[in-house]
Amino acid sequence: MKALVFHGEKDVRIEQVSDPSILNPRDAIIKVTRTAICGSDLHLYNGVIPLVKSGDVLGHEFMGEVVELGSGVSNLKIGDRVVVPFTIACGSCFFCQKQLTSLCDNSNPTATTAIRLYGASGSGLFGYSHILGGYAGGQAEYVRVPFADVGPFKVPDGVSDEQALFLSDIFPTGYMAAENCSIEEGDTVAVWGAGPVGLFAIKSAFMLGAGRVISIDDVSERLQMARGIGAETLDFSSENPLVELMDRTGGRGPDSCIDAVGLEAHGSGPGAVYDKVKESMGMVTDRINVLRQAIQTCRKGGTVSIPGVYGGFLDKLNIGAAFGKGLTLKMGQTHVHKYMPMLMDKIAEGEVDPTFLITHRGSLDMAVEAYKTFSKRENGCIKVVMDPRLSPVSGELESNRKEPAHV
Amino acid sequence: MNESIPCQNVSTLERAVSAGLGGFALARYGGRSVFGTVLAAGLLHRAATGHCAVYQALGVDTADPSTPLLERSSVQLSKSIIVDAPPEKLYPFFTEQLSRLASLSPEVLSMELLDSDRSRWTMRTPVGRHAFESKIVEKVENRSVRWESEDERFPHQGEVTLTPGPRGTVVRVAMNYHTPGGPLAAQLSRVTGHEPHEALERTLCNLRSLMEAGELPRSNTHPNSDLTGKEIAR
Repeated sequence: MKALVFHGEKDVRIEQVSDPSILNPRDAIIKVTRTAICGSDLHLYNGVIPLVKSGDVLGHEFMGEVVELGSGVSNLKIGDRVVVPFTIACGSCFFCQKQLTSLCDNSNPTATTAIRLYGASGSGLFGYSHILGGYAGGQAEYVRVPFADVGPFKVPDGVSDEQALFLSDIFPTGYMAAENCSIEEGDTVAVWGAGPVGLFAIKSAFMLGAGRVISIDDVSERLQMARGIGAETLDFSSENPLVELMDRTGGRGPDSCIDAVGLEAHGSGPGAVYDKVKESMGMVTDRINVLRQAIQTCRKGGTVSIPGVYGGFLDKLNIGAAFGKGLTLKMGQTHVHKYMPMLMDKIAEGEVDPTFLITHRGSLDMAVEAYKTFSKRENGCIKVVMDPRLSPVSGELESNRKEPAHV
Repeated sequence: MNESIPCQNVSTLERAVSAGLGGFALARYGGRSVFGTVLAAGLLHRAATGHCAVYQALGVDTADPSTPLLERSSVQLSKSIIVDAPPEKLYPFFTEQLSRLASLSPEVLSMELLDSDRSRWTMRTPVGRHAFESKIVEKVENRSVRWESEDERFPHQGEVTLTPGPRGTVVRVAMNYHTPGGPLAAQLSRVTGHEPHEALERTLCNLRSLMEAGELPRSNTHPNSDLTGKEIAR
């Protein structure tokens, strides 16, 4: 089959690799009908996530059609159209029973590596670091899905592939980020990053009752899209978030702050320069400027919610400010399984159409170019969706192409 | 106060060499480089006291010519895991169904039952294959099992206890083994992922997965790129 294969920093290639096969009774093989590039794929692409190996197939946002089932899967049948959570969960352990599926005890075959680094292991993830299992990902024609009796969620008729696709990660991730804020009616929520997760966090914050959402970024197309879904915007290239956020909230600060950026924050100001210099000398793993600003501006008793990915140790983080203001910090990978049914209902009922953020469409053969475009935020690139069934087309990755007739 | 003085474990010749190198480092780098100054101080301290902390951690003693260079010293390890299964389902893994336990450990290459209490194990170690015999010396049904091995290269004792609780059974394995190099060697081999602690942890995680999820997670499915690594022509 054809797949997008990682070979090193900023080196991904489309290659022929062997087809996946059923290894365990609870496995399924999915023929991918839509796959996307996630912001966290860029962390892998930029080489900041450890233990991603040459030869790894990337991609953790995908959906498709069931083509093969293990003997232990009875709730799916061949031909079912399903969307697959990026977190792999057994469904039966202590954490899965609490719906904390991204913390599953039994889906990471390389758990001991994670235990050494973090004290305990999260769930296995598709197309990610070998710290979390090193499972082959979904930017491919076919994917092996473990625990398929628990993960893949059937897509109802009337919901298109593109509408369902983002339930695999970014929609639930944005939703959980907002839910973690315990939003009360009329709250003001500040969201750093107007990429896909930030945009879904904005949408979800409004769904949960926020009165105002302030979106912070420096890419004009992204800020424009944030305005399009009702957010106020703050361009950090011309305005200082530390000053501006206080100014816009009567000096109190936002009720909650969402860091939808994570460890590769660029930002501006002395903090950002400090991180960049230390990172270039290999003295720091994570650039945390957004987290500093979120903690500094959040109102007393508020919540800082962190859907953005972090990997290691922080430097110059003012935990005293978080303590002094009695902040709540919430974070972690998304418990996708928990949110999928409820969010699928909202899509089916027409309350949300997640396709609003798709800016680029193409075949899987366009993936290499798409990684470059997305990574540089060129051509207004916010979200790339690929259909591995499409034959390679000559020319550019198409921007805002209409959804093909077949779903 | 004698206990607080570390015992000498460096030979007279080595102390003289340390004194020379320390003096040189002090003259060359002293006060100019933090690392150089610390190095000089360390070497001079080693020369003056005849004690080396690294040697101590490795179980090495060059001061006493009667001891072997790398003395075997004892390493203790223990690991607990909660498994959502009753003790009755777990106990057989450590008694009559040792082959099931062996299948959960990637380090075990083969296991042969010699009689009801004795078994022969072949393990993968950082220095190659190693076979040894193990004997169950005490068992309390559904509660605990103790075993021993008088093996020359890897002498060890171990005990597993099964304690039922509201969230499942706490499986605790405690082991005591002797290895050249002692605790520091154990730490170093831990980096390679072959150290007994890591092997034990992996085995217990696998036991939990088998009992709770019915199968072991497997991800060796990154379909390696074909050997040519040829990109598909657009």
